Amino acid sequence: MLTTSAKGRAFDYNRVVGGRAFRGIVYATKGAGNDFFVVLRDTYGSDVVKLTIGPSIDDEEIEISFREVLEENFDGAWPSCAIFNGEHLLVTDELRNILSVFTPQGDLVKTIGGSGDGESQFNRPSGITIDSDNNVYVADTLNHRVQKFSRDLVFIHSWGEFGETDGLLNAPWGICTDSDNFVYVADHKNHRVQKFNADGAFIMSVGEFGSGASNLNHPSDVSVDESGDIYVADWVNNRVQIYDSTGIHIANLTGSAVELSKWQKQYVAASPDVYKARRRVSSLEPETLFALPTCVSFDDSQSRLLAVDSQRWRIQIFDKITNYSDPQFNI
Amino acid sequence: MISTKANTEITLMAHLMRRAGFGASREELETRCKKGYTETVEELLAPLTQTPVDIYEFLRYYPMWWKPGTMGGLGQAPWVWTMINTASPLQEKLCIFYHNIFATGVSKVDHYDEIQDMIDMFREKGLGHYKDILLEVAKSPAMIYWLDNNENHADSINENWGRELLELFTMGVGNYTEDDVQECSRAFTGWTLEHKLPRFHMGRWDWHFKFIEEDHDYGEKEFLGHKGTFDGEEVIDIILSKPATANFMARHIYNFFVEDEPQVPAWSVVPPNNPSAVQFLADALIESDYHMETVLRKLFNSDFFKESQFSRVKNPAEVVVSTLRLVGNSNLPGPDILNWTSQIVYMGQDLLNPPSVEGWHSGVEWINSGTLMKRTNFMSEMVGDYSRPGVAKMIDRVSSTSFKPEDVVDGCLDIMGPLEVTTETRAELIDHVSPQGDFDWQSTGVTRTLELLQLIVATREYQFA
Repeated sequence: MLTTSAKGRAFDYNRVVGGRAFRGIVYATKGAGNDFFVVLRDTYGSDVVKLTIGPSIDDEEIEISFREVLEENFDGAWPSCAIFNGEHLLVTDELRNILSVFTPQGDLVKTIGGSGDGESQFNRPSGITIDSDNNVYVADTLNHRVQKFSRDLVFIHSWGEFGETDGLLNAPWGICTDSDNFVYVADHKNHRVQKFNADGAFIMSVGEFGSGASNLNHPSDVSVDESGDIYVADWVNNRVQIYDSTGIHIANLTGSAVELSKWQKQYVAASPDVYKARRRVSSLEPETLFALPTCVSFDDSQSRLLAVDSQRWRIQIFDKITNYSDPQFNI
Repeated sequence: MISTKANTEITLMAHLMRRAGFGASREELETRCKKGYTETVEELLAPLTQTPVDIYEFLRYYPMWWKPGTMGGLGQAPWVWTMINTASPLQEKLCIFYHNIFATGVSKVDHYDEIQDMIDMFREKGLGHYKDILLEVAKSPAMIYWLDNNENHADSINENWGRELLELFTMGVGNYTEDDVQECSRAFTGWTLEHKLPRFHMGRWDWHFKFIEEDHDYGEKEFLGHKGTFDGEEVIDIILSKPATANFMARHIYNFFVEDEPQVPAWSVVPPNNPSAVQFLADALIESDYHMETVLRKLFNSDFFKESQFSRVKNPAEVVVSTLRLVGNSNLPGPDILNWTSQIVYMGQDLLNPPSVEGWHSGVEWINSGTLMKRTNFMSEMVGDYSRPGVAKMIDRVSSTSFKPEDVVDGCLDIMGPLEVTTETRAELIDHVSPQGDFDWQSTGVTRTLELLQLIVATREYQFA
């Protein structure tokens, strides 16, 4: 399905970006202009890559491999998530238990953190986001809490502890804020998303465990657009779930990549055996579907959703159209 | 010291847990002793009563291991992690048991995930009827490709699968003819693979079994004395009706769970170590229609099983997994899991990649000068690490009752098994610790005991389960 419509919105498949260079992709976040940063989590060589995604199809180029800037910055690293604050890229590292600050050119500015459960210490930090004041929020996964820092990465406060009732967390992963500075956390092992205010007070919970229409199974990430719609990477269910601002389920996206990305097309064209193997299968439909999506990132500037399709080494992009009504059904 | 009665119970429970699981800490053994031996057997035979391992916990930190490729190797790491963390250890032991019979390797299949799917099937159906497992294996894409059944056509048979089905998976050499091999292969023509998407441009895809009617030989066959237009399932029924199959499978079960036998290729010429025990198991297989849960219940409650302590050499997976479960702090997926998985390989057991369709040779063949060093180095590193909670607990228990060198040695041998050692071994251990006198638990006692534990895992006796 290329267009998913529900409740006055349409999510219209736009394009796919990726290929073998994105093996191990787990996260993508927007930089300045057409820049994006992609986190690659290959056990034998993790990286953060800066690329541009231009306005037209196939207009994408890799510009910088941070690993190539200085390999030792990624030795023994398990980069997880990243956020660009307008000046620097902040990257969580869930093996070294640090938060690394890079310039957009890949130079390491500083790191904070260390192993532990004290202030500014982490136990496998993953999700990271900022609010409108550039305060930083980190999902401190195995401390089952969120830590909030100032823009200068000075600890402000934290909230959350292990548990399953409202306000408690179990291995939180992705995190985001909305335009009113509410904080949303993918409460991974509680199979839900929780919404908090900026002080950490519980507001509401979205989703519950299962594979039904509105359910979640090990959600990995969350993003909220400027109208308040909530996007959740429903990791094990291999889809993106969409809820309205009150938490009512709207729709899901299971993947729509009906065509290969630029780099995938190049690879297939250059590999006769792969080309032939694609021709002999009964259907190419499996290629369209998500496999363990690990990131959703809504780009308000262009009203589009980027979903990291981790096991297919790509990003599927969907345009959001509002005030949408389906064309006549009897056409 | 623990009383003789308790020690006997503990010893037997420890034996059960080594064979039907990966050993157990003293605390677990004591808890199980309170439940009782029979009740523990029943619990082991009821894996669905336990919370299963959440494999997504592993994939959360190792996303590249969803359908791992072969370039980096170690695609078996999720299985190793499952073995370390399972609350249903018999399930995983059965996975190893079946994997060694239906030995299928990534060296040819080139898809860890497809062989892992077979392991997952063993986990799910391993306690069920052997016929169901045979049918699943016959339809397993990994096995079909491994034994070339995708090249087995109605007008041009490939005997590889048919031969191994008879030779290694059911009856054993000497119980069928070359004609039977060909007729068996004819019955499995058309059992093949669906074309799958190529892996290189966006990752791997599942393979699926496909039956191609047009490529199946529907003609009459004469197989093991039976005539008919048999298909694969009917051939399996005939195979399972033969006493030779029950005897062969009984010997597999005996070899894995009870006592090291000669290697499989010798079974046609070398009789079992304990013919009556093998016959007991063969009868149980026939009476239960090859229901593995029923057979294993009889096995674990039998006298010959209870009397078979320390008569099997631990296989490398048992060495690594049991050590990690003993020392603790190994449940969170971290970089160590790849090292631990590698250690099993270094010790001679590259899981999901056996040396041939015959599987691994076992027993004393696990031991050579290289693998023995790998075993002892790995185990001694682990039990010498006081920061691991299981090690600290063992030392706490020993230190609470002993300070004389002899008592500390006996306490350590007890807590590490209880382990039976020869008089010479015990004397060597005592000789090693005696020169420093009594153990002072406020100063050097812990360090000396760690060293003692390291020596114990290096003994000949500790290599046996």
